[in-house]
Amino acid sequence: MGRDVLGGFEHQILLSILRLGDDTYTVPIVLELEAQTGREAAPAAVYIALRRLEKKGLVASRLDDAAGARGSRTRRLVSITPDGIDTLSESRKALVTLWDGVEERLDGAK
Amino acid sequence: MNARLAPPRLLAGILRLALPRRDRDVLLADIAELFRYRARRDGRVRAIAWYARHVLVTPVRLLLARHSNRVVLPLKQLSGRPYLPNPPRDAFMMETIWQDMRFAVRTLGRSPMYVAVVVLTLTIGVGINATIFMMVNALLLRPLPVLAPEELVEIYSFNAEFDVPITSSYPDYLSISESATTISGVAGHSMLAASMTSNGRAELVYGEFITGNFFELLGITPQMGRLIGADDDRVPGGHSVVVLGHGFWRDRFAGDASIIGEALILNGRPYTVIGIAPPEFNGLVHVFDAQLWLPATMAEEIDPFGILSFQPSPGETRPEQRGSRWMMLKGRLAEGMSVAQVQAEMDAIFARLAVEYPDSNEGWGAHVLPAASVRVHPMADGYLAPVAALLLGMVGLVLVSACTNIAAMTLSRASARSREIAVRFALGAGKARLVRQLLTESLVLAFLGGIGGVGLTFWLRGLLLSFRPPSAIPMSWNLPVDGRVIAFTFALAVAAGLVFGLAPALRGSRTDLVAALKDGARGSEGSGRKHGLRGALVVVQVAVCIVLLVGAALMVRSVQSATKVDLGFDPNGLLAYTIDLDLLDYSSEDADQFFDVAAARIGALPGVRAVGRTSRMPLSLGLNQNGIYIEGRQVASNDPAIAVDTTTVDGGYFDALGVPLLRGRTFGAQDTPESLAVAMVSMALAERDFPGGAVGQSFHTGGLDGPTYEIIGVVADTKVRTVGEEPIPYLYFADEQNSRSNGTIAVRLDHDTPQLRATVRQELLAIEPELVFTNDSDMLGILAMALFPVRFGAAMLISAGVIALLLVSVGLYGVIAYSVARRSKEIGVRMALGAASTDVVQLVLRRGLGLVAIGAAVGGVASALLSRALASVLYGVGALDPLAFAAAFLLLLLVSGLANWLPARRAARLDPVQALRAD
Repeated sequence: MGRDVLGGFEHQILLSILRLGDDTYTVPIVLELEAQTGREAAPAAVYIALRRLEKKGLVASRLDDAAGARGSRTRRLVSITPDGIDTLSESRKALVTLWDGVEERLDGAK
Repeated sequence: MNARLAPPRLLAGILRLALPRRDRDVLLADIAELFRYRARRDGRVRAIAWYARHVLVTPVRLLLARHSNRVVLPLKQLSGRPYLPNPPRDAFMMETIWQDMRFAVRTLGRSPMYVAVVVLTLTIGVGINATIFMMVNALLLRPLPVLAPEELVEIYSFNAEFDVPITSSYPDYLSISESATTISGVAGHSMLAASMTSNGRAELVYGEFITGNFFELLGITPQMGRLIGADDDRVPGGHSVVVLGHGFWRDRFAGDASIIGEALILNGRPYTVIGIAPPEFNGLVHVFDAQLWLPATMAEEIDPFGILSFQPSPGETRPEQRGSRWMMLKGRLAEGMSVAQVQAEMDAIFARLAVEYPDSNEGWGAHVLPAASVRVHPMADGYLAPVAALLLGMVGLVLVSACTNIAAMTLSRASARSREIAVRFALGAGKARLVRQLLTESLVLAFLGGIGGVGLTFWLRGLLLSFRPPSAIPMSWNLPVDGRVIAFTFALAVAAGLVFGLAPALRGSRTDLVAALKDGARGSEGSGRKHGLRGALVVVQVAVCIVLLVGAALMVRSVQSATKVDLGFDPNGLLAYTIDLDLLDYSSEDADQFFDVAAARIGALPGVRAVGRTSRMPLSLGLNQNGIYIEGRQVASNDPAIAVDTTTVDGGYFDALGVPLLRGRTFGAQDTPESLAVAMVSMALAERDFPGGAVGQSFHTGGLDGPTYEIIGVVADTKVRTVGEEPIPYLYFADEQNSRSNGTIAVRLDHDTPQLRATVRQELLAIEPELVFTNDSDMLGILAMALFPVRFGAAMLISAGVIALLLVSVGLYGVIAYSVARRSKEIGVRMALGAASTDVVQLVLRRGLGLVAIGAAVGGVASALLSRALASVLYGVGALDPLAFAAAFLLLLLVSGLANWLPARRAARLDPVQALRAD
């Protein structure tokens, strides 16, 4: 994995997918982001980021053609790939290392 | 799915158009799902605002994402400090947009002419589209101003014999109301006209009869006082209460609150004012402005109008008679019910009624439609929708023409700027950044065009409101410039700005860097493709212009021939006073006497040549049809009747109109209710049904064993329904043998002067001071009403045609001037080598006129195909009228020749030395 592969927003999306479980789609991700960050997320932004993540090989998508089962509309279902999991854990490791020993300074600032 | 939770269809449609094909349905469905979630959580209004924002934002985001993915920046390393650098993503997005905006405004400020022309062009193109959309919106799209209009259904009575959905009776309404379970409630309403007297003066007012639950069912709350409720609608004739419309209360009673509790005299009877309706509600019939509401149980005291049908049935008064159908019914769907389920239940109820009340209900069924699908009446709607489509198509063509101009201008600007763009590239600006910059410029222009468009819409609205049909009924066009219209205007402006600003911009940003820098000020504008595109745009414009001009010419020819058509009588100096003595509670004997006295007194006035009386003036809106039976023609009693248009006139009518008697005699004093029933026929009727001579023949009405009428005279044909019609068989009954309390007094003047008109009017008011004229007009006014659609259409098409012509000349001038500037060197060489200035003019003209010729050919073929759509509104000219086509082509040739010749002349005056030295 090269550096700066994962933008901040992409990071958040990958984590949301992880929380939601595989085979999720844009709408739950938007709602999850809003619930967890308290800020409105644009469906187009999520959609674009998902496409970008897919190009990078971090998520895989497929069109859900189980039409009729739950409404007749098609969804693009996404899941995290093993590469995506790797990237997430790498970035987590890096962040945890960086946070190490500085957390109390945040608490002190409060 | 609950319709309230679906995104507005208009916005969804715009979004669908703006999304790339890939994953379009997925994205649409995702955004719709989030919309539903937000509608439940935040309410529909906020959800719509959210959706509207995403309609704008989503396509832009997707477009930017696509371009930023393709960014290749081999030149980025050229400079350490890029001009307009790619900003860090997300964080400074807003700041960058702001920066782009300021930069766009600054850049545009440097070419004020370009801005002015683009904004003006957009204003015109968008403004007239928005205006037509406003009319369509008011008439066809805007939901009724009531609670949850999407839950309402229309319930019509239906009889195969009439083949038209018809109103229902009050007892039928009660039966439906008692037993229906698929609807949570049903209410009835009908239009009414009444005479209101105050201080000895009478005036005509229009309103609606409504059932007691009407306001409650529609969720309407009073502005003041209370509205009519269930307790106001129980006993036939027993509830003298009235609710006033807000506008009527404001205009007629100066908004005086103390009117509540006072009495209004309607048709000579007092009605207590109990309340004022809210301002946003003016009745359920589109375009018709209700001034007041009365309980339906009062429908015997005052007559309703609209679609009425009568069959004998028990009961003294209209609200008690099951066979008297006069109310439109609206039901509200019960929870979870569908229109089909209501239809099924109504079928059952109507079947039961047909068994219980065979006299009045046999053969009657129900016809249930969602109220949203009915605007005026199912039959009228069938006529309105294509007219609306025609108008929208017409102004859409103007917008296309306007857009091609903008595209052409932006193209040449992009060419001119290619050097600037190349420099920015070289300094390290990202491609996405540049595209965004150009996009921002387009959006700023589109925004200005949108503002202009809304402004123009308001102005045209004023113009349209003054262009109302000459009719006595208070028709409010009621054209609101509401959120829907404004959203449409801006969406159109943005779409036009994007499509016709961005495409050239993208092309401009694809500049060949090295060539652009090398080529100096002229940039790379010599590319043949760009030139071809501009030429193609002009061809499109010319074609569009020809289509509109041909349409306009056809309409003008129609108006011309319509005013020249021989009506069968002279419309000048012919007055027509329509009077309804029912409004004054006259008995039919009194009414007959009134008309006799009026005819005698007006006839005695100096300057009056003749006076007649009729139930209907030719070419008026109303129409009577009767079925007649002729012995020998029909054999069995169930043979179908011959349908003919009929009217009732007195003997003076033919003198007053000046319709010559061809055979036999006219009606006279010898024809009385007791004498043999007589009739007169038009020439067309005589020729069609009585080839052996009509006078002395007879026919029956209501069946072969029905009443017999003897034909005593044949008169010349007149126009009956429309100016453009072929002679229509027309049957005249004798006024002398019928008593009627309403009718039109036709007065033929020797010399039409205002004084004489005033004298005639005074004479009528002297006989009855409280007389109300339901129509106080003359034959020219009736004619104007009949010609209103074609005049209106002509005015619209001429305006559109002139605007298109203007746009063509600007576009053509631009293309030719541009090509002359580009070829100035070549022209200089030619002139230096001895070409005469006429040769140069020819050279330049050839290209311009070549484009015009191609466009005209394409437009001519398109016109020939499209003008058929106009055929139904044309009078006296064919859809392929050669004169109209010739006029359109000639006008186009003249204007385009001029637009072409000006730059050609400039080319011919070029100084070859200067031209060769330049650069």
